[in-house]
Amino acid sequence: MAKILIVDDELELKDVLVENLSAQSYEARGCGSGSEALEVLRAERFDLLITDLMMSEMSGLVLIKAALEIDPRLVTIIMTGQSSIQSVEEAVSLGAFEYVPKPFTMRTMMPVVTRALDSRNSGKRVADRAAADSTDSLTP
Amino acid sequence: MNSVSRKDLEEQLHVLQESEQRLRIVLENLNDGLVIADTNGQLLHWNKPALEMHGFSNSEEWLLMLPEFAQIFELSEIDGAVLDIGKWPLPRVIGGERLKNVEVRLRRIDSDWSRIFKYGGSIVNDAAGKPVAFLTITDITERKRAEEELELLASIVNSSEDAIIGEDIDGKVISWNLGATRLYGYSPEEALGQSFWRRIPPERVDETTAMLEKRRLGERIHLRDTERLTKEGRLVHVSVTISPIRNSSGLLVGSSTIARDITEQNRIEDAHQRSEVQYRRLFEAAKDGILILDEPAGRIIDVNPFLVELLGYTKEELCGKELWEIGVFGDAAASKAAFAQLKEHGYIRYENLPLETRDGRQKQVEFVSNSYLAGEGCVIQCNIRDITERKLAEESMKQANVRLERTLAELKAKTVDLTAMTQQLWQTSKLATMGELTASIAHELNNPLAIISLRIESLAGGVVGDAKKSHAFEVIAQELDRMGKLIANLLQFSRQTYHEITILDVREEVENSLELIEHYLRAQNIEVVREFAADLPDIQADRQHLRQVFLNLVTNASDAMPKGGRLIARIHAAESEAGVKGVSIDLIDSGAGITPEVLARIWEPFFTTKLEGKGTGLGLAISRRAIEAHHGTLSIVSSPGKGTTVTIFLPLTNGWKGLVESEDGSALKRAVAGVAQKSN
Repeated sequence: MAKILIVDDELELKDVLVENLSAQSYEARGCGSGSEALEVLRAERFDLLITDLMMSEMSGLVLIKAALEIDPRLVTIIMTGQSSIQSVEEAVSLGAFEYVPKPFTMRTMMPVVTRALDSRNSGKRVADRAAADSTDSLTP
Repeated sequence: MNSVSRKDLEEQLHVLQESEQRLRIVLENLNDGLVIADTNGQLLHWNKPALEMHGFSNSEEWLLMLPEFAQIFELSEIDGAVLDIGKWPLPRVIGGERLKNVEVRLRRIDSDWSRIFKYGGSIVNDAAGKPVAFLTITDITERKRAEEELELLASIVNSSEDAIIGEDIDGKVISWNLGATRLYGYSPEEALGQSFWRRIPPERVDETTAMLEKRRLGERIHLRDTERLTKEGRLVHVSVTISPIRNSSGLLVGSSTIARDITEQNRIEDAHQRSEVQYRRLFEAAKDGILILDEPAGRIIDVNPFLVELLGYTKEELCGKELWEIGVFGDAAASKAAFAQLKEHGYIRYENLPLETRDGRQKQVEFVSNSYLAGEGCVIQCNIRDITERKLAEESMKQANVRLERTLAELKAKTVDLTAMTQQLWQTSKLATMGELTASIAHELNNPLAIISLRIESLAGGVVGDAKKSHAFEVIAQELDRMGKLIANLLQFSRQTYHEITILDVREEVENSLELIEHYLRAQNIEVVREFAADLPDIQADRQHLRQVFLNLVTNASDAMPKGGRLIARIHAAESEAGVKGVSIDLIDSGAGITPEVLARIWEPFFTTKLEGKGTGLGLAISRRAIEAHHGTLSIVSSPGKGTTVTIFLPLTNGWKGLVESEDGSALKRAVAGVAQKSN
């Protein structure tokens, strides 16, 4: 069972994601901040990190960078409420796998999660595609 | 008695007759008139002089006129009081009065004839012892006249302001008038018999000695200005005229001296001379040109050095000429006319008269001319002031003023512009802030929206099979999706955009922009007509920028139709004048149109016809810049009252050669293209 860590300072969002992903038979766990997440990551191994980009204490990009230092094989998905090309580019350049703009439904999120976990298994990143998809999703 | 012989008697009678004859001859040849009358007033005899004195030629005439004597003559006293007949000389004598030197004026009534007689007379007994009245008459008319003349002369002499002194041959005063008393202080009593030397001051002795020599020779002497001593020892300035006095036989018997006090006259003359010197100096040193003309002819009498220098003619060249002869005033006819006007009014003034100097330099002068009495004639004084420099200074001042005013006007205009610009900048910055705020709000909204979306999705999963509930959740999900899109659009318009070329379908972008404000357009009662060509090539462009442009232009069109109207959005393939292939977007409104004046300024940044605070004046400028950045064109055609057509031409390609045609036309490819463009 794949382990997913969800980080968002929007606690309700974090909770609903944890709930929904758990319902999809993932082992999901949530953190309200980047520092809390890093602590968890140091203690435990996760397959996938889903994090908000803009958080008050530590930004998603900083978190990804630190997380990859802890576990270089960690696959990450970025969520953000303020979609912009440069944040996609930056996230991708940091090693984020996918980019999901808020708001979203599980119908959108699940394929991304599946692909990300697949890529972890295949060890391949599809940064371009991830960026392309996420950009396109700005104006569905 | 008988003893007296007849011969003796005859002898005596003869002697008596001779005596009477002699007496008669004597009477008739007296100088004086003699009238004899008896005591009854009966005239017994008038001698010949008496007849002549009364203007009668002979006794016959007298006899004829005698009865009417009182009607013919009027007697009066010397002072003019008319005498009654009773007071006439003869009746007075008959009345017993003895007359001596009674002077009476006799006048023939109704004529100029008038004499003054002196009467004497008394009653005497004639040979027969009978009393008779005799009257002697002396004509003193001439003597009286001479006396009166003499009196008049004396009074003239006495009343003269001048001292008139008679001196004998030795220089002793023999007459001394009031004027002499006034001048020298001596009374006539003191002066008479006095030597003239007493009045000669020591320093005038030589002069006087020389004068005496002349006087001795009987010459008339005139000293215009000499000095004399008064009784108090004071020196007075006098002019003296000494004339010889000769007796009837021509012998020099003395002299008359007329002396006049000229102290005051000297003082006046001195003052006059001083004044003359002062004014001459003024004339010579004046920094204005001064010209003196004689009145009837207009000939130059005098000219001051300043004018000589100003005109470049010498004084000799100017004097004696007529004013218009020298030609400095140009038109001679006009000068003559001006001179005539001057003569009539006595004054003429030109504020600014052009004048040419001898060497041809042009001068501006102020010319003031007055005519005034000087002595017996009239002269004209012309003051000529060189105002060339002043005029130049005034002119440059005027120009400076004009420049200053222009600068001021520009400054004012700039201030107005600046004020407007400040407001616009404020407006712009407000918009920028609004943009940031919008972005921030959109972001904040996305989180709750995400939460709601996820929760609704979960809940919807629980009602599968319940069609009614499922529909309800579906609607909620759709509306959430709409909100998400709206927020995404807002974000796109508000955030700082980068130049990001992607491949896009213009129709989609126009549609997107229209959708964004369609609600607003509907509220404005504006009908939107889409005339999109079915077959249209994609173009390379920056999506955000295009959307911004379309939004701006559609907003402008709606602002031009405040009472509603129709907006046609027409999109079709087109070609530029240079043959470049592209797409044309026409936005045709049915609004008020744009006047040519406004049209001329419409591209200026910050130019707006919208209400203050409503428009930034940046919309069109930004739009054009954005289109030109795409190598396209933005043009506006408008006819006031009919509406405005804005045409955008965009070329198909925009500097980027890769992936022009995406094989599957997917959004993915476009997005990749955009990213690639950026990272390049």
